[in-house]
Amino acid sequence: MIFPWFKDMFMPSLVKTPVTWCLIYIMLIAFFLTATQSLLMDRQMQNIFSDKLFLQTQGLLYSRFLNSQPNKASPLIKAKADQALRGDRNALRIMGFYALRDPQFFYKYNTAKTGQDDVAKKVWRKKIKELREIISMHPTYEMGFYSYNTDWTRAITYQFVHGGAMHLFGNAFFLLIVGSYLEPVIGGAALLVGFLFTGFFGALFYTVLGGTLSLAPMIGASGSVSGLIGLFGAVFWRQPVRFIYLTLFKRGYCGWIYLPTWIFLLHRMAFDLAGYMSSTPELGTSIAFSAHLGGLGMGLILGYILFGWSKATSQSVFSH
Amino acid sequence: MVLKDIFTKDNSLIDRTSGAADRPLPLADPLNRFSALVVDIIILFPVISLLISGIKRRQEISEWLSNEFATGKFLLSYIIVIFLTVLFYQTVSIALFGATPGKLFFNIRVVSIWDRTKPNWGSAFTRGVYWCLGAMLLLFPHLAIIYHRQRRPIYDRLADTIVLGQERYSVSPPDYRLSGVLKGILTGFYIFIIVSFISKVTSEPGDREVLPFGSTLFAKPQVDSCNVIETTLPKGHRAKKTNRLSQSLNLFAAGILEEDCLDKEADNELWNGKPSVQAYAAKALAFNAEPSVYEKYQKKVCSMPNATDYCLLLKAKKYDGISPPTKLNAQYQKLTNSLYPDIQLWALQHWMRVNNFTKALGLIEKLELTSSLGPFLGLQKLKALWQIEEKETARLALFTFLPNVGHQTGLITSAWFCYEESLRECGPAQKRICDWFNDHLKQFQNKDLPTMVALSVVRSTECAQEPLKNANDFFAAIDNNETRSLITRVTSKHKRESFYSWQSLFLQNSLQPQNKSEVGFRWLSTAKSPTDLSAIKIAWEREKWNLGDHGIAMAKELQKRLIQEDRYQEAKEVGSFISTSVGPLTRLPASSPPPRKMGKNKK
Repeated sequence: MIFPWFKDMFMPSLVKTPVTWCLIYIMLIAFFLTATQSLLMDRQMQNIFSDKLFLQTQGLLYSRFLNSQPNKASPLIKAKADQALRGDRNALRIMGFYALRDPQFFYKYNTAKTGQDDVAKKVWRKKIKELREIISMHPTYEMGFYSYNTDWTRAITYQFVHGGAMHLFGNAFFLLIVGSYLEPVIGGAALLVGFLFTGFFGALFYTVLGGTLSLAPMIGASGSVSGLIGLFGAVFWRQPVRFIYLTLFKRGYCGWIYLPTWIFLLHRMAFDLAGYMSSTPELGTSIAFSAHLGGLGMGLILGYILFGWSKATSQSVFSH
Repeated sequence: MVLKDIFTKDNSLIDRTSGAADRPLPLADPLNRFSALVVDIIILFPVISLLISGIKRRQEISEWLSNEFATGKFLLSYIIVIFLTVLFYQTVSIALFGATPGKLFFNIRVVSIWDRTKPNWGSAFTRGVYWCLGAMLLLFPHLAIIYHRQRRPIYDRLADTIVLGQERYSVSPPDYRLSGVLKGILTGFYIFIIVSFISKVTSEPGDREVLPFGSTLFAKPQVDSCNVIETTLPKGHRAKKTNRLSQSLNLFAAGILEEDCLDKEADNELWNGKPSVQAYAAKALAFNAEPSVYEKYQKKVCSMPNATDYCLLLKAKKYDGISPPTKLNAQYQKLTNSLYPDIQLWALQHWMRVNNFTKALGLIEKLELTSSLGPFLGLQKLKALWQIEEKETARLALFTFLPNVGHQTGLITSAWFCYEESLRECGPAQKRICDWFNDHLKQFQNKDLPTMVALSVVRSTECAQEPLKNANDFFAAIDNNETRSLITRVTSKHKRESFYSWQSLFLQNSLQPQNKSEVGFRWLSTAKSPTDLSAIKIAWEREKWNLGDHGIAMAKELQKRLIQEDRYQEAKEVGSFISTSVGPLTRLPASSPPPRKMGKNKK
């Protein structure tokens, strides 16, 4: 285990790092305001998806919908839809889940009232109406960023919404690490601009590299935190920065070490790149690696343009 | 490769490390070596993640497309990539710098044992190869760092290298006794693994699953369980009359087809053809476990024209398991006259369940003319004949039936009769059918044994007064935990005396009728006091409709025990249950009292 560790990191100080702490507070408030509602809505959605008849009918309707529009879907999705139409029940259920990602189907598709399996269609119409209502009120869908939606205000709001306590903790922790190094050097305003701008750029990257336009919302500050890491790397490129390492809970096996920042930057970039390369955009992932990479790249460029490589002196970093 | 260190008689190194020489070697601290490994992992992890990302992506796509997906194929690719990356990292860093970056961080070095210089490329490569092989064995060979006198695991000894640290952080060789104990434990562990492996490989083919070489690593062809529809579709003049959905409904009613397959056939008809009563009824039956969906389809069926029979069937099936089955006799009487074979099959199952075997036999005769489910009907006929005490006819029919059916039906049928005969009497008739059953069993790989087969194995070995052969393999092959736990308990040598409450609970909670009746028989055979018998009577009263095919046999046994205990009123109650289904076979003596027990006469 090894990561940067600023000695005054856990001493909230409105004088030294006010913007960093404000951002964390905003994320926390947003989380506590939306957590109950999100949980409730998630449970309702789970109930709907646990209905086997609804799921199968949705899978069947979606597969037929894709079949009627040969140029719309990617070959991978088409192949799965074909499997579902050939009678593969497992594929049918997967397509039932996958239909939720397709805005065209989800919002616009409707069935004829009679003919074919009337009972299943009636159940589907009722449940899809419920699902549309839930999604219209779900905080994650309300504030999250969709690649299919051109409403760019969401490219800012998504940065403050989180899907769970661990998600929030991870992002807040890294924001604190990087922010407490950066803010005293580049200033609060620059940090705020960097946070929001790189997050915005991460969303843009997510849209461009995402492959398909998806209804699955992207949430969390990880794109912006990656951007700040990029900025941190550009500002302190070759400056030795204090890291904490821990191999064993024993004297001599844990402690401080000073390493150039590019190592941290490279490490983070390699993970995000590996994640991006190992995922198939059409199938989607639970982590938006493309947003991480976009944020990181933008942070690096921003840092280079505004501050140049290694402009910050080690003195300014360790003077606290 | 230099192996002279292993085979040499030169003890100079040992002398030096153990302090016999003037100045002992500064052996690296194992904790430092472990920490160095952690640092190396931190460095290598992103590199390996990048290298395997392509394989991971392919795996994801393969999983998505369900292409004969084999986890082993990708696992092997992962292992090869990781192996080569680690080997490259180890070889280059050790040959160039005499240490990996992790070791450099903790100030420890890999040196040649002969001149204490950094190892050459050959040594570094050899060390790397064996290091990786050791890592693949879950790092167990690396544990020699703790107990070896020079703290040199096999890779160090094969490459003629040793890991040294700074003088002030170095450690001395491990204590002789500790070293011996640890070495002994690890050697024992290795021997255990080797012996287990050899015994697994050399065990008799009949006792284990026979798989082609490499099949555990690579994909096995998946068998589509819905294929049974094609294989059982009648050929010839009947084929025109039977469509796929009708055949699916027949198979489902006979318990041969899975719900998902019936649902698939119904969907096919509803979405691609003309929606029919049968298709909606099939949907309802496929969603039998979900009452709200079942009810919707049932209402739809009942609202359709010419759907009286299916509507009645779905209404009757709704109360299955809720009310006593005899209450549904009137409905099933109407369904018996239906023209649809699948509805008749449901009616047949009902009559078998309520032990009305005469009605069941009549229905079987009718069905044999229209349905193509020969083996299923044959088995039901044999069971019905047996239950109405036409035992000789049943035996004769059985021996003409068995050679003409598939292995699976043959096994189940012979298991059922072996079990019934074993319950009745251990003798030549029982031995004959149990031998037949054992012959059938030998033709199968011993895995996924159904409850009936497993119970028959136990009963037949008890009759033969032999111990259970390969008991552990047999227990492992049983296809459900409930039967496994029951058989483990009944075959255990250390039976607990006070387990009546367990038997009562088992009878109540068991999901398998055959297990329920087996527990009932065992309980009856061990019951000693009138209180025990009362408890059994109460449990029987509660569960009498859930004891499956052996319910009548158990009722007879219970009645016998009650008569022996002079509890005529209760015996009469049980007898009336038997007589409603198979006729008044066990009559109570009308005029003369039953013979008293010897012990009671003496009193």
